[in-house]
Amino acid sequence: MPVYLYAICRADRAECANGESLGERVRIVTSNDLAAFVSDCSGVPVASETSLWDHERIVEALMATRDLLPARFGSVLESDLAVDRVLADRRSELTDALRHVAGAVELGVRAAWTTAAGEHRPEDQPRGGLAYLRARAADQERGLQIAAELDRAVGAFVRDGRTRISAPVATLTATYLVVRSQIDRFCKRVELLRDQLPDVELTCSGPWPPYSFADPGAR
Amino acid sequence: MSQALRDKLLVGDGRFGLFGSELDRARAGLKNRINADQEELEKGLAQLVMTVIELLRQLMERQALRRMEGGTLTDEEIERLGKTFMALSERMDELKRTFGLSDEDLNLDLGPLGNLM
Repeated sequence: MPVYLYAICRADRAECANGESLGERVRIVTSNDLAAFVSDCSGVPVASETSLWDHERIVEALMATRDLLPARFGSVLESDLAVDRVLADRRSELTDALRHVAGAVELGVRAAWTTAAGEHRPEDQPRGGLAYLRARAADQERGLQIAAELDRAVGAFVRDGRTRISAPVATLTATYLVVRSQIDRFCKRVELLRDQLPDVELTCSGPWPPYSFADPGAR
Repeated sequence: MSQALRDKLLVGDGRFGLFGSELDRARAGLKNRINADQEELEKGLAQLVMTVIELLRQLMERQALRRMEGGTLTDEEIERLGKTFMALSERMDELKRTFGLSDEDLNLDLGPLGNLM
């Protein structure tokens, strides 16, 4: 029977703490010193806002009392045996990843700025090729500048980070692995940067399970 | 914005649907894996082909930008290249609209290597 994967943790941390309940559906599959939280399912679920939040709530509840590697929404494996195989085959990689995320959460930062190239619309006056390429170069440059500013602002408070600049729509998506005690400092830095960059829409969200720093999902 | 999302907002006001694309991404990612529906087949194929074209377009555009900044192109060459990329970009936007695809749909999740673009 297919099983839906929520998260992976160390086997000795999988047992429920006092008063903690996994709910009716979630159960534990153990393989050596690793364990996975799963539930029986009939296949890949339909992605909707409700189903995404359901997944999120279960993973967050599990994360409240232990370090874990969260699975992305929709991670389905063939059976308990397949889960066991993933845990066994990727044991060393998963153990390292668990060590990496210990005591930390993921914070997301998104930035959007006015794009020079994107301002052009087909219905506008035709524009020269040189102007277009210059605008694209300017967009790229601005994205790199914002990424550097962001890293400078929060770099001291993060354990790890991933940044992606999307030039055609002029947005930057960054995810950071932040120790819980540093969340407030991190946010203050983002707020400061927001004041310093009035032309950039900056948003910070979290705390999230460390999705970007551990992907044990079915592939 | 839902209350659950509001609770997750630490800085900023979450305007212009910055979070909306997460749902699109989840849907797109799942579609890639389970899409065996005949009606969706054409869209799936278009998505695959356009992903490859978009990758090539971006690679060539970056190369053109590098050459422009390096001063190895004449003004006429820059003008011609720029117009070509502009037309290609507009054509891609049209195709995306035709097939109901977003920028996020033209990305590939390469697992441990991250996203393609």
